[in-house]
Amino acid sequence: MSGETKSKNSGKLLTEGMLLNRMTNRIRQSLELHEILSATVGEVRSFLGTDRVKVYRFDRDGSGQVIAESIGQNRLPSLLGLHFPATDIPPHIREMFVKARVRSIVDVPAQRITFSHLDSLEANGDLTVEDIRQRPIEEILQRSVDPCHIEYLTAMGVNSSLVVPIFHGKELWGLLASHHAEPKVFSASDLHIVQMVADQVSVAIAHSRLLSSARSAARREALINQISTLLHTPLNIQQILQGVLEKIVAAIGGAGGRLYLNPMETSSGPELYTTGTLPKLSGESGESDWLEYHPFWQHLMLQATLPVQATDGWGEKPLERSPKEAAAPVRAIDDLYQQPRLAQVAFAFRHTPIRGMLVMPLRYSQQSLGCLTLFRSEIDTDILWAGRFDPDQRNAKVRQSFDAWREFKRGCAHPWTEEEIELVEGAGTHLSMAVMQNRLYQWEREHRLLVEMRNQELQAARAAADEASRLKSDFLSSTSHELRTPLASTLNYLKLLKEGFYDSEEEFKEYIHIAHQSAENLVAIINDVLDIAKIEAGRMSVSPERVLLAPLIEEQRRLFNLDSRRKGIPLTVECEVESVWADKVKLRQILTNLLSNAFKFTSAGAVRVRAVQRLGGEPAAPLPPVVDISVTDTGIGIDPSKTELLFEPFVQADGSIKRRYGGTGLGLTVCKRLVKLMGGEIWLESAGEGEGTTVTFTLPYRASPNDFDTLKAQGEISP
Amino acid sequence: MNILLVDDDYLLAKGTAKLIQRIGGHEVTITDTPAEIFQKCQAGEVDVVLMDVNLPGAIWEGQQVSGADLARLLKTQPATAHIPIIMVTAYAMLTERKTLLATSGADELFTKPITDYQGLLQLLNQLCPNKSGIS
Repeated sequence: MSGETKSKNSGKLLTEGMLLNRMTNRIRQSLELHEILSATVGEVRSFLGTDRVKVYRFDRDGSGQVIAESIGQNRLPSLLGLHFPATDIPPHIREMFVKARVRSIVDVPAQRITFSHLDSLEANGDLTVEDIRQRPIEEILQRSVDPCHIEYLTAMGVNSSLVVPIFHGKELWGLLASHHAEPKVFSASDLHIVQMVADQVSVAIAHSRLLSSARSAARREALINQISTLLHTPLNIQQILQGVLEKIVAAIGGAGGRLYLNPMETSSGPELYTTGTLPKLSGESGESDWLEYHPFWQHLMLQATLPVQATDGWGEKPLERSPKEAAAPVRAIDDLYQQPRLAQVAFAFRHTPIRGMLVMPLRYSQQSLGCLTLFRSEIDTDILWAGRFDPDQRNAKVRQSFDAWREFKRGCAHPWTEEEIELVEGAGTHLSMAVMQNRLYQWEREHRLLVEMRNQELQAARAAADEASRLKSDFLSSTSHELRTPLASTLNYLKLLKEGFYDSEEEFKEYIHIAHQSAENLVAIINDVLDIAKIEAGRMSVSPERVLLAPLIEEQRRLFNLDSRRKGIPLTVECEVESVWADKVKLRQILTNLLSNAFKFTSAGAVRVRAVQRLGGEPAAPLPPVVDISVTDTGIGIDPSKTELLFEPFVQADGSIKRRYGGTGLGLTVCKRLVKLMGGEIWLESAGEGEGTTVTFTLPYRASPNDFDTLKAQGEISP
Repeated sequence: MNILLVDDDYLLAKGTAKLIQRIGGHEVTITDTPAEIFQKCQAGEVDVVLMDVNLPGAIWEGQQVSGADLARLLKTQPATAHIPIIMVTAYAMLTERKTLLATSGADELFTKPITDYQGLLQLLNQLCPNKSGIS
């Protein structure tokens, strides 16, 4: 090796070292990939001394874009920002870049391509692609250049090229390419350096990815913080949920969103919150119109409640997104018009710009809470292609011009990114927890209320039972007290008779009479008490039938004829009703009781029995007709405020009345209960003390079952 | 002795009075009006009072009064405080009897209806030892 070569080599070595150092420093200094790449292409071009060095990045669909470029002396046109279709670098070439990690050096005039593989080729050793593996490696590395490629490069004005793949992990991220207008030979060390630069770029890409994922994590965290803050504000849950929904929609740049919550077990119905642009199933806004009732949503919500699933149950591949799927089966739809499951509802989106959709079933544990649906509008894209190309014509004719050609596409789907999906997942999870928390809180509160209500009911029931028990023992006590008086009287007079303590025949008869009267009074009380006890125990049965009223009242009139004549109080009868629906025996008992009271408490005037028919119910809402039977007297009357009391056992308006007028004190009590048993009502009216009394009771009028209708048809009943 | 029987059930009281007269030989006056009770007691015409507890129609100074109220009034007036009072009641429970005795200030309680006339007469004699009746 000559000295000159040596110094040249050492100079070159120095340059190489400096280049790598600078590259490394740049990568360390900046986290912005764009800056690093711009610097890289500049450094590499000056190192290689070629006309153009560019970084070409592959897009998902295999097409790519020149994202960094350095051009020297304008010997080649700029390609920066231009896109190249996927067909320009066909899959087998990309595969070769991946599998063999080749760098190609094309000497266009010599029509020779050199693939110089790296050391990693053997180590990597995964030439799994069939057509590559089956061919001897030498053949791959030394095969001649595709004439088409030669033509392609020539059309670009390139006579020699050097291409080094850039990897991110195992994935082919892009290419570092050098173009030169003249044929150029690269030394092995040059290639080595460029390869090392490409490796540094890989590191930079990794850093950049980390950065952007850290940034999106930060963004996610910020959103979740905002949501958490909202969730803990003292607003009501409706306001909070609306706010959260709006925040999520804004965070992903959505067009609109819906938050549907299942009905709670205890609450009335489902809830829906909406914001922004929404599809419309029909003009109506009712619940039946809700998207969430469509099978697509129903299925997702149901699915969310099932344990981890392998497929989505439709025989389709779950989302391309893997392990988190089971945890939160967010369904990301880039283009809803391409989704067969949505074909039925697609029309609802026609009038909207919506094209993408993100659906996240909300759940807590295995319980489905509802569904968060976010919409995203289609976008118009604007791509600068390197030359107008026609995929069908491409193979026939190589593009002769690489002048920028602007492609403008309307209505493109705007694909959801991993970051966005994760963002929604995070937010949705928080939302689920908040909703669940609120539900648990509400459930707990309702439950507590329910328990309180039940306690109150129990207390009321206990109070009622206590009251009933008290009334019963009061009744027993009163009864025993009331029985003692006639009993004492009977015993007294019997004793007087037994001891012979009478001075005359007259006195003897009087004593017998009083004893007998007292004993009868005792029996009357006992009978009434037994009646009440029977009714209370539910053992008093009534057998209602059609009872002709006039004969029954006439019978009563005869019964009270003696009282009427003795006291000089006429008994008048006005019976305008033919029949009532009643138990004849009970009705007789009631009438006897009321008439006996009337004569008992009247010293002058008249007693009148009246029976009239009227419509039941309110005038506006008539019920079947009833019969009012009233007994009116001109007797002692009663303070109107005390009328209700009279139906209580052993109560008379004035305690002294009983002594003066006798009676069991149970008559009205028995009447009230009997009337009730026959489906009627009873009440007492009086204008006041000394103003007389009217007791009225109602009974159903039912001569025959169809009477009501018949009478109505005949127009005999008018409200 | 002169017994004042206070009861608002006249027929019952009449029978009771006749029996006491015939068995014990005492004079019995029946009344249910407070004014008459006070008048007779203050006039010294009464040696002992048999007082019914329930007097639903009894009004004194505009107020409805019970036998217990009347007994207390008699016991708190110097002119009548010395007159023994026997409350006649159908209330049979011990606590009721104790309360009644305490509130009325009466000397004794006797159960209504009165069947044990011998017992009643013995009690009357104990309360008024110097006023034995006609034997």
